[in-house]
Amino acid sequence: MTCQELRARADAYARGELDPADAAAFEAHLESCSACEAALSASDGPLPDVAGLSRSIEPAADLWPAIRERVAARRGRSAWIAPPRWALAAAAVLLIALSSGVTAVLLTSREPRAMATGNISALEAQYSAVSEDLTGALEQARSRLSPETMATIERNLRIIDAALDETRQALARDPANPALGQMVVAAWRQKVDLLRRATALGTET
Amino acid sequence: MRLHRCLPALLLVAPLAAQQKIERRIAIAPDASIRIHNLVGSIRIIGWDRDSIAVTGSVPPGAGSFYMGGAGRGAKLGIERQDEVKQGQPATLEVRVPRNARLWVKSASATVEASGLTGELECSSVDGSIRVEGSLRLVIAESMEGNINVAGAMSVARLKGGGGTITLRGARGDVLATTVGGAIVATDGAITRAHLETVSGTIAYDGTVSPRGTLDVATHSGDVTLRLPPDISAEFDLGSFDGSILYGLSGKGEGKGKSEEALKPFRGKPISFSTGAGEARIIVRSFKGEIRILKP
Amino acid sequence: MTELVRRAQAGDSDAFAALYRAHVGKVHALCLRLAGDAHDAADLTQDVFIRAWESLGSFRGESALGTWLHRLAVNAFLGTRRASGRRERRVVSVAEPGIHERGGETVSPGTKLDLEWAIAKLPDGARMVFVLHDIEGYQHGEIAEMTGIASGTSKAQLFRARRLLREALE
Repeated sequence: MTCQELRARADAYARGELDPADAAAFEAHLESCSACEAALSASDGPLPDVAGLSRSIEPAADLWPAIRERVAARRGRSAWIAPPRWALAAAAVLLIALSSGVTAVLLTSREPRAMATGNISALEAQYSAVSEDLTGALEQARSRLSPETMATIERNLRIIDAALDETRQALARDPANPALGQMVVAAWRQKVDLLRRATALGTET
Repeated sequence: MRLHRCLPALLLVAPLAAQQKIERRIAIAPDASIRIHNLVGSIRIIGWDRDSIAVTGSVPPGAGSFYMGGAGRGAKLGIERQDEVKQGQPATLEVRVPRNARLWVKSASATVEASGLTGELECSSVDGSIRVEGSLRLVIAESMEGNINVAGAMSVARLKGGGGTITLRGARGDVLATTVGGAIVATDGAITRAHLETVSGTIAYDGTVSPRGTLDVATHSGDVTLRLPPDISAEFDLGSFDGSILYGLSGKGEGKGKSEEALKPFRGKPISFSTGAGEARIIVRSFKGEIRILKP
Repeated sequence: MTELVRRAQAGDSDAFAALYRAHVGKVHALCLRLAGDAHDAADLTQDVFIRAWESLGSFRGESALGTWLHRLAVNAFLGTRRASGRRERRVVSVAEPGIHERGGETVSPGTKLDLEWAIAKLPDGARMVFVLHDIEGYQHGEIAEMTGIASGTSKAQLFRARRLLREALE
């Protein structure tokens, strides 16, 4: 492919309309032609807003406990074996905090995956820890919230706690029930989300 | 008369504080970022086709003071109160902004109403109600206790309530709505993707789901009623641990004059089936709420 | 080579835990944008750190540990693609209200939402190169090495990604 041909086909390449042979030729040309690379860069340079995207995004839940378990299990084994896909949560919403101050909510609505009982306990431990932290933060923020607002928050928390208790009890009676496991996780997620919102109210100026 | 005898009398006669009337205007870019802050009273936002912000309103004595500043691509305005936490006097603000502006609105008990906007709106409140009408690219609304009312085809809506009701009218794009005890009511829906979730609130969705779209509903104890077109092409995935599931789209009763067919509630496995070509996906999960899939 | 790495290589899991805490944000950010899905990103991040534990012995410090972890992430991601074929990704990024005030508002939450969303919707190859080049700052030669594609392909994919993003964001 000549430089002229490349520039003529650039739009089509971008849209994925070139046949495999032409696409391969397009790519191969760029391997060694800095002039064409510069031309493409001039027409479609870096996007300005990309610099504002965060390069560090903490996962919603602490992954360390699960990693530690697997690391401990693998000690002494020389071959790496792929772990089973482990569902962090069948819940529909995860919160991810970006250090730049914008929180991204990623929504997935595919089918919930079955979860082993051991994984539920691990998940519960994680959510419980986060919940405790947020409850502590909310206590500290209490003085900045009106009594009516605190009453509203506490009322909502009671509804969630009641639901959480019920699903946990059902799970205790039927521990192999994957749907119940998912519901327990969902209830925890709702609790953490409410606590996060409540704490935010108390810390915003 | 000696002055020192007059002074105490003079000091007692202080002038009454006057209500502050607001009328301000500044030029601003059509896609400017605008922050509006009023904790108590009301905020009314109207999108218009001018490249300026025009504010009118009033601030009663003791309610704080109005501030406004900015130019170009950013502006801030609102009521500054001395005591942020306690209930104060209500201030009213009516703010006209360029339609495509990006708005951040902060309220506590102030009601928020927005209309005529096409840009972005992010609004948080404690128990003030939020009402948005229009076709915004993005609406984010959170109220711990107030009702949230959204009408129009928003591209993306993220609505989080608590005890209040979330009402959606004419939802089209991508919707997330969650409450705790409050109900979620959607009418005239034709969503591409929606996640509706409550803990104990009821969920009612009336409308359809676009082909390849997903309607994902989850509750602990709220009753769920979906009214869908009888000819909808969808893959259903329904699970209620301890509540009943009634399916009434096929019109085939159980022979007892019932238009709804009872599906067995599951204790480990959801019930899955398809109608038509199974294009849309409809997933409902409940712990003990009843699930009803009915005709409109 | 830092002391922590040396200790972790010797089997000190507390040292490894500290390395995890120091690097998980950056690894997870890459995994999130490569996979375009929170569930997958969390799994992928775990895979990366488990692989890191397994192969830390072979890390000689020629590159920074963060870069080495990024290579593991890319490998892990390519591995999942080969294993499971295309899976439908449903990703929406959304800005949360008012938790952190941003002065200046030159990039509003809406812009970031649009951009993250648009990135997630790019075709896999273009997205991978875009994330590695424009977000993470790797050069085409490094990307070629990390991913096994030719550097010409990397340049072409970058062009495609930027063009598609511009079109999506208009």
